[in-house]
Amino acid sequence: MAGALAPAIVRAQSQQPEQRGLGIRLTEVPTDRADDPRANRYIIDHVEPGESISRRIEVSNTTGEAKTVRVYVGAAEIRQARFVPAEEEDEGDIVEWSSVSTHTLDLADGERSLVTVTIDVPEGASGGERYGVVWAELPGVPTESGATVVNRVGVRIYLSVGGEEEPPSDFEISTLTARRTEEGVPQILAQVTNTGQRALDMSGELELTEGPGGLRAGPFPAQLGTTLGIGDTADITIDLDPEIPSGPWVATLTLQSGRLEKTSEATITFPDEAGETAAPVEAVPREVTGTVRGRAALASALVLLLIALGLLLFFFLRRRRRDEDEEHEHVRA
Amino acid sequence: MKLRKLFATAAAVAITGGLAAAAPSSADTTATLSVTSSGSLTITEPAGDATTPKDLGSLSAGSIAASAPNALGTVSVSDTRSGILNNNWTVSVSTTDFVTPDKNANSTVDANETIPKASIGYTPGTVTASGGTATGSIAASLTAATNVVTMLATGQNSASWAPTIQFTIDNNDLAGTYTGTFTHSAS
Repeated sequence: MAGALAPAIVRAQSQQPEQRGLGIRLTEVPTDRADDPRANRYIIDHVEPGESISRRIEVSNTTGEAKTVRVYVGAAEIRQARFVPAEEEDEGDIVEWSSVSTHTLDLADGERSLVTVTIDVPEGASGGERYGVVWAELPGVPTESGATVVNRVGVRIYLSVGGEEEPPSDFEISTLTARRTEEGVPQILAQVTNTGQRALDMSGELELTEGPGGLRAGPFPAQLGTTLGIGDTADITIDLDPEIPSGPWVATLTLQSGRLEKTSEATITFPDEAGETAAPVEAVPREVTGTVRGRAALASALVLLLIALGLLLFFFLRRRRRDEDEEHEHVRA
Repeated sequence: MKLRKLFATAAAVAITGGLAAAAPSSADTTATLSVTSSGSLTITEPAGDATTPKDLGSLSAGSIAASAPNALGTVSVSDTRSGILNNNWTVSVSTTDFVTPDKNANSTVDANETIPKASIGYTPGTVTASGGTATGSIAASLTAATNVVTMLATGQNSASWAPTIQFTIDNNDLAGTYTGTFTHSAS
């Protein structure tokens, strides 16, 4: 027996934060949305009336003891640029159309289980985007103050109903405004409008270039996880380092929602006084094609054009050679 | 003549090809693909106390805002999902009206037995975060579910906070033990 070696179990040295509680995650994404960051964590889809979609989600219990978890779908809405549970959570299309494979999960500590969410869109459904969340909920716990607290985690649903083609997503960065907070922190407010037909979850970053003495700064993350409803306008805030000089700077802002990305820039100067806001500056778009798909289309069109030109040249030269040969024949004759 | 025709055909091919690549895909068959992520978006269990709810305190009636320090214990959310390209999440809070059991003995919930949702506020306080940037915002009046913490991250992260609650108590409210339920929703 001496000297027998068992295979070592190597644990990945991850910097994972300690995870204790009720967990949830989406476990599948349609192949044509695999490169969309939003579709990898939310249920995002487009269907025609009469169609169904389903997704499997995984619920896990790491609270330290066995728990009975409630699973259900609630309605949601976009209010003040945030995705929140709807005022009447248990009413509306998403609730009526959705069902879960298990309403109640009895999970031992450390156990995880898969639940299938199915959304059946009826034939007569009107077009438009519906919002909801698949919730996994812990039982309420009474606390010292006298209040009971219920904690739940969920996977958001953004379901678009309509014709054969998915409605487009689009947004516009209209202005950049430089300001300084009461504490003297320089900030940029970017006014963004959802000009498409699906809700957007915005994130992005800001870079400063051509500053005093040729300085560059950033990138600084766009700080608030804003959800922009269709037709809504919101200010996306970017906090910058208090050490940077006031300017002037060329501010370049890149915002994304899923696969959609756009860049705009403006020349700004931060006010010297705390609590002051400069006048908004119009943001100028920097790229012609805003989407990965757009760029791919442009690239393939160019390639085809080159092939076409190549063919043209080939046939032209062949024709010229044939003409020349004919001329020589005539001369000989 | 032949050359002109050739040019027209070639141009048509190039334009059509470009348009085809740009056109959005028509109704796809929903072939699914497994997300290779592991981990999960997790919320902790409330730091509870199994004893019976305690009095909100002996507060003299009047329109005052009472704050219960560390009222709901500490709330923690962690996102250990990997390979999903973006790990943003938000937490919103909602509450029920707070009610004291039928002091008027008339089998109805009267206004003087109720602290309505609109008179209840939630302050996350300092949000301690790792792996990303978490911003807390005060919900002054919980008439409807309101976002209180937002995390922006592109990888695994966690955040925790110990919220305080503000009640604006009406002159007419009867003394007693008011109870209600807060819900933290993380998505």
